[in-house]
Amino acid sequence: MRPLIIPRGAARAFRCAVALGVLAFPVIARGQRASVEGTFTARDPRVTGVVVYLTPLPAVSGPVAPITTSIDQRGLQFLPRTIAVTPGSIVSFPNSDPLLHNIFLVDLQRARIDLGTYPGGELRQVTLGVSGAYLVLCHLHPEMAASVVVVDSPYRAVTDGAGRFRIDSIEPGAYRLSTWHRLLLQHEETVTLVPGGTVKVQALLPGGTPIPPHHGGTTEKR
Amino acid sequence: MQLMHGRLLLLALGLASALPSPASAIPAFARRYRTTCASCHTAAPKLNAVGEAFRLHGYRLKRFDDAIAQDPGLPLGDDGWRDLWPRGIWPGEIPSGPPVSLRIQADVVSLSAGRTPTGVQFRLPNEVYLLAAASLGDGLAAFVEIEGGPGESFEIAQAKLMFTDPIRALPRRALNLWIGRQNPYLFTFADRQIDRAGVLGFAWQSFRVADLRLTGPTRSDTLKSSNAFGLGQTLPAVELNGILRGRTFYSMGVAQGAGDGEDDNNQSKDVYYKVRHKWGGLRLDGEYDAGGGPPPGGDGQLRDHAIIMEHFGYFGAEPGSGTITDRHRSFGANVRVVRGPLDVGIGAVMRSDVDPWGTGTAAEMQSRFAKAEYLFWPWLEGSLKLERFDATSPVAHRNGYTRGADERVLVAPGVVALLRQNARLVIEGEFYALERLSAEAGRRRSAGLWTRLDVTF
Repeated sequence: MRPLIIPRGAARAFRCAVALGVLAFPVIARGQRASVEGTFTARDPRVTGVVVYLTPLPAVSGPVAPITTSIDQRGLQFLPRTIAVTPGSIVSFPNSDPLLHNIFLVDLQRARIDLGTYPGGELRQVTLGVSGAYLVLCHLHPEMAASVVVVDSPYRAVTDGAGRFRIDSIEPGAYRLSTWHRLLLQHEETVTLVPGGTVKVQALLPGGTPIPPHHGGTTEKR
Repeated sequence: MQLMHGRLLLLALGLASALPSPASAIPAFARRYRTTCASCHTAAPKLNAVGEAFRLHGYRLKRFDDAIAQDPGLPLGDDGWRDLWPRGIWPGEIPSGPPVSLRIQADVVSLSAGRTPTGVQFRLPNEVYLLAAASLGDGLAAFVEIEGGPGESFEIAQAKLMFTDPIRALPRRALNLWIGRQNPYLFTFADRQIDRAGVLGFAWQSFRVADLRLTGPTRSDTLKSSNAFGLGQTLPAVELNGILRGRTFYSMGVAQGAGDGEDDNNQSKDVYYKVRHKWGGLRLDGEYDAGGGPPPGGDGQLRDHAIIMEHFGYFGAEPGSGTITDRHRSFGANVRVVRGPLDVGIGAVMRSDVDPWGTGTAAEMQSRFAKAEYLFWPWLEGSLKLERFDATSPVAHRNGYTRGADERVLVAPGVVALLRQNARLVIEGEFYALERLSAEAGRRRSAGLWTRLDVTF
């Protein structure tokens, strides 16, 4: 059998094509993903840090990878003041102040997780197993407050001081977009994401008491 | 009543004249540190352990200041000028904004003397305070309190400069110098509004020997002393104080006892001393012992576990009658236990005046008192004050005078509700199980009910 002889020029062209394909794959792959961005604001401009998250439609049950993150205590403030994590995540609370803090987490049913009193330079951590919303307070400094929102979604973000957010690398499809802030009524809407597309959302969120993130359904005004 | 006389340990009761007394809830510091009243107060103006340490340190805990001060103030010279001293001016600072606050007290008061009610009085407001306080850099602070009410002129209740660590070679806070009109703060659990819940104080604080009348042989000549000095007064004074080993506070001062802030009206200055020691809890220097800390919980209220003992002595001389100088001396001691939400203490004060009427007749005052306060909720505190108070001239009869005596046995239950951190509602009753005053004939049983709305901003 005669060996297959490929002309040198053709082989070079083939290698270039393969190389280009390898290099271009991430770009193509990213293009197949989608994004959501937008703005959620409140009438009170001081209300910031709205958690935005997506849940697929129809609902798909499956584990979402937990994460490890932290909220610092610095200058009698929690930094950041709002985080969104997934069930099973570990949240640590380092104390970067030169004084004692005694922080505790309280959920919407007023159940508490008390991390005790500890000095600057130390940290305590907690594993948050289930979806829900937790208010973080300090027994010793009542002005300190933060929120930890546990949502069953890999697609989540927290709005910045201007109310803006953006979530990238979302698998295309239909999702329910939900918001959560302890002082604002929940906002929910359905978004359909196409490969490479970006959906924009915007809303002014009315004040009120939201229901816990994992319950879904209606909200009630305060 | 006899029974009450016999039960000396049943600390008795308090007189409780609700005279305005120095107040020190200072929102200027809340603004400076961007922190809340609860960082320093239990139910403002009552201080917690941090607030007391902050006050004793001249309104500056430098370690915290460097880390959390949101308003560092306007520097008056770079810190480098310290190194050049005395060839330059020692640097300082002033607040970047006016460190001024207002406090409004509005009272509804119902009082009765014996069976004669005086009706309900609207004192809306009863007092208005202008408070100014600032750290003027490391080593200097100022506090000013001006008070007034309807129909009254505004008066300077306190205005003092606080030099901390003026002698740098000494250990930190071992020696401080406070100059100006100030409250000697003889006891820290009963003497001041910043130490107690409620409206009412104790009789020993407001007692003046001028209130004690001596009746002559003909019963028509009543003697009244000119000595208007009271232990609860604010006084022009120079005080040296300090904290030793973090847990012992001492002070000694020279004061103008007449307390009117004018030129001295006799040739003698008053002197006083105070000693306080605190076991457990937050130390007086604002630190915890290694491995220590506040007990858990509190829901926004700092808790402390401590035992505090105090002792004071005061020696003065004021005009008694005519050109006669009345020399007086007072001693007091107390024990206070703070255990989480519970704050309870007992104490005694004794005072003797050598010759308040110019008749060679002495006067004596004794007070045994107690206080219990309990935080039911972080915003709701109950209080109970008791005092047995006796002021007499025991040897008056030797000089032909009738024994003058004021006796009071007071029970004062009350409740303080924090409507906000800077707004409290106080409801407090004063009930006299015994009340016999030398200025009035016979016994009576007075009672009163105070309702106060107290807001500082």
